[in-house]
Amino acid sequence: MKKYLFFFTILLLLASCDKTEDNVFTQTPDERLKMTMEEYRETLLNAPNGWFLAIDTKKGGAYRLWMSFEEDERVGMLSDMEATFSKAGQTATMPCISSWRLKMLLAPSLIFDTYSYLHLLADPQGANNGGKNSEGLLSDFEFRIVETDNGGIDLIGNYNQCLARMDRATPEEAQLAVQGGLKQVIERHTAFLTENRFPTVEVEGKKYLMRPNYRETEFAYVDEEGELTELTVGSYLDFQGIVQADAQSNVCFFEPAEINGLHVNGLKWTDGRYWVEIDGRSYELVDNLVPPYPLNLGYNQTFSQLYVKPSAMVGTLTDPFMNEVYTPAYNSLNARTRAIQEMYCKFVMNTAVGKPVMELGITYLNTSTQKSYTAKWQYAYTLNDDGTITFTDREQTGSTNEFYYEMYMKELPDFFCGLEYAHYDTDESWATVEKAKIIPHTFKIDWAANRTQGLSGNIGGLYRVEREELYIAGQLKQ
Amino acid sequence: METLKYWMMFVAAWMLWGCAEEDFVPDQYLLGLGGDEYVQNEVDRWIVENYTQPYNMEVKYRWDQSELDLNRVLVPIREELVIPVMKVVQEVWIKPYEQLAGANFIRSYSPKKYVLVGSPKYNPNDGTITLGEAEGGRKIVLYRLNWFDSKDRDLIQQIMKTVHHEFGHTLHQTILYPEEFKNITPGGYTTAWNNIDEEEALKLGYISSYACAAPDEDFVEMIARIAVFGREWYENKVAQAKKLYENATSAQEFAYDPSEALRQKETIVISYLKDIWGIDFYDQDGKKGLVTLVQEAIDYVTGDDYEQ
Repeated sequence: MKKYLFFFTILLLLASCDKTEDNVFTQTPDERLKMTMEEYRETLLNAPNGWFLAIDTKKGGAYRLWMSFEEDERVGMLSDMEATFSKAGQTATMPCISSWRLKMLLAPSLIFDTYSYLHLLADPQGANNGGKNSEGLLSDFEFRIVETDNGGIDLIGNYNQCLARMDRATPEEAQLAVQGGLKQVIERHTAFLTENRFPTVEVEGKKYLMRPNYRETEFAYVDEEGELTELTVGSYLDFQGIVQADAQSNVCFFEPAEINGLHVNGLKWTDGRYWVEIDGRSYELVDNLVPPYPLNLGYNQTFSQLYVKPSAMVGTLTDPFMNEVYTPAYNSLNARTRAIQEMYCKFVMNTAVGKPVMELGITYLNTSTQKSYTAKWQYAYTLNDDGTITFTDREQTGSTNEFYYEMYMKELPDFFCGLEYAHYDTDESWATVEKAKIIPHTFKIDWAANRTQGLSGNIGGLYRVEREELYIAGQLKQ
Repeated sequence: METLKYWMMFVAAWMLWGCAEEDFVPDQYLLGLGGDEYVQNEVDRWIVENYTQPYNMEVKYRWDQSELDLNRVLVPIREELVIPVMKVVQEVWIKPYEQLAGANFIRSYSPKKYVLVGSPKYNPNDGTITLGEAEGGRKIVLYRLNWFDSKDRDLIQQIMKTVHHEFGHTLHQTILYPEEFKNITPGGYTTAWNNIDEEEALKLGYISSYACAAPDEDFVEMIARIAVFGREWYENKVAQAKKLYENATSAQEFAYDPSEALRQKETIVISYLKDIWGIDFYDQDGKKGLVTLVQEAIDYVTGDDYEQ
């Protein structure tokens, strides 16, 4: 009996097999893919003024192109490449025509299958794009489509995974683009950057240097451990800077950048200034005049030298220093037919004492022989707990350059540490000099504002702590 | 027990009845079935007329990553260079062989697919670049074609050397050359061929440094270089080898006379082409041989009268 029951059960189980398929979708995957591809095709072609495509290359930051897709799988392009790489030719005004296709690769992909301005970026020959041979800028020309209904199209490169973003151009933008707008936008922005050297945004009391730019936006801040962190994020400019008068272009990111836990998503230009989008809020970007993080100047530090060329630093060397220190010294030495040309303050190791010292060098020109000489002093110093530095004494370095002429430019060596002498005879030598009084000075080391047109590099300064308006500024060197 | 038997039979019958044969008809739409789809342009039509219809060859100039190494950075060829490049290939490779071995020769033995790439292929670590590759005699990949300029003889020779080189592989992969070829200079073959300069290779009896890579490469380098650079060039090469041998400063420098080795290899190449394929390598009985025809074709395509 048990046996029959067993076979009966088997029979029942077999009979209950249902062979009909139950699909979640009414169409097959291939049919649905075809529909998707057709949708994409329509989207691409449905842009009467063409598209802007920005691509975040792995080695060169972001590049922006204008593209006009045609029904017959042809595409015309312009690119902003020439703005930073002149060897590429006139990419912003000379159109390049090649082919495009939508193809089903691992995902529906937009591919540019013959050489174009887009391929220039990906070309492994460094001579074509400024990259390294065998990799170029590590860019892409085959993209899978990620998103099409957020105003534009988000893409990811199939080969190097570069992020790309497509936006429809307005009639006005398209017209500007064919007239070289992609390059003009960059030139316009360069002017902004020369006027705003240290654009800074302050979030919850912390200052972040943020230099909005085409190709890459730079960030720098001091993290919790006091370490300076610098990083870059691929970014590109829209056309606002050339469409509107007196406006700058918005700076767009491909995805929000994480900066010290903050999510920064590009910058908007409104009301005559940049606003940074951070975690859904807008923060004003202001020029800080100097970097918003401490300066490391000293022996074995990031910078070890201040280089001062007064003739090239008009405005950056401020009145108190010029009126009280530099000009009196310059005039009195000039009366001896010697004109000061340049100076430096350098932190070096004095091997005789086994301690680092600050060396002041003043180079002057003998106007009758047209020969230059450098007078040098070395200053012993102590570093104070509050970060200031005190120059406690100074010594000449044994040449007649300073021994004969110190008295005619005494304001300069005395600026760091003053000396009064009991005995100083120019017929003798520095070894026989007797000091009567040492007047040490304490300084704060910090950045200094660059107020000179055409002066480049990082500017630092030594500020007298008791009178901060009295400081010497110079170009920082390693 | 009897009943069980019946039950079994019943179940078996029932299961057989359950089998239904359904014909599989692929009536569904399959994306990409039938190959790549694209709008044909002038270049595509030219290729069909000049390569696909007469020789059943495919010329792929549109980017297809799957044809290429996935770990190398490469870019496609400039569209406007496709026809000029393939015209030169026609003149300097197809026509000479056709003239010597008949129209069916290229149809039967030619690689079936040409893949055109714009940039060179950079090889990691050793700093070399690859200009061409063949895969099992069926596919030839040509690189660095964006440099193409038909007035640049050196460049044309570089490209065509690759084509002849790769076709040489097709020939010996179809019927192998005599084994004795491998024993002429067996000691010099090395994978580190790129560390051997041309003169060192010549001293060992190789026509080029790449010929040191393997006997197969040596064999096809002989065909390709002599055909593309000409007999005169080759004679100079042999004379140079002879001179190096005669001016040797020590007895250890040479184990054998490299010019003799080259001559032996040359003889095998000539007889192989003649015996196996019926092709005269050099001029014979007033008839032009492969080398002459290739040379004339190169003169023609680099000449002022040639239209790209």
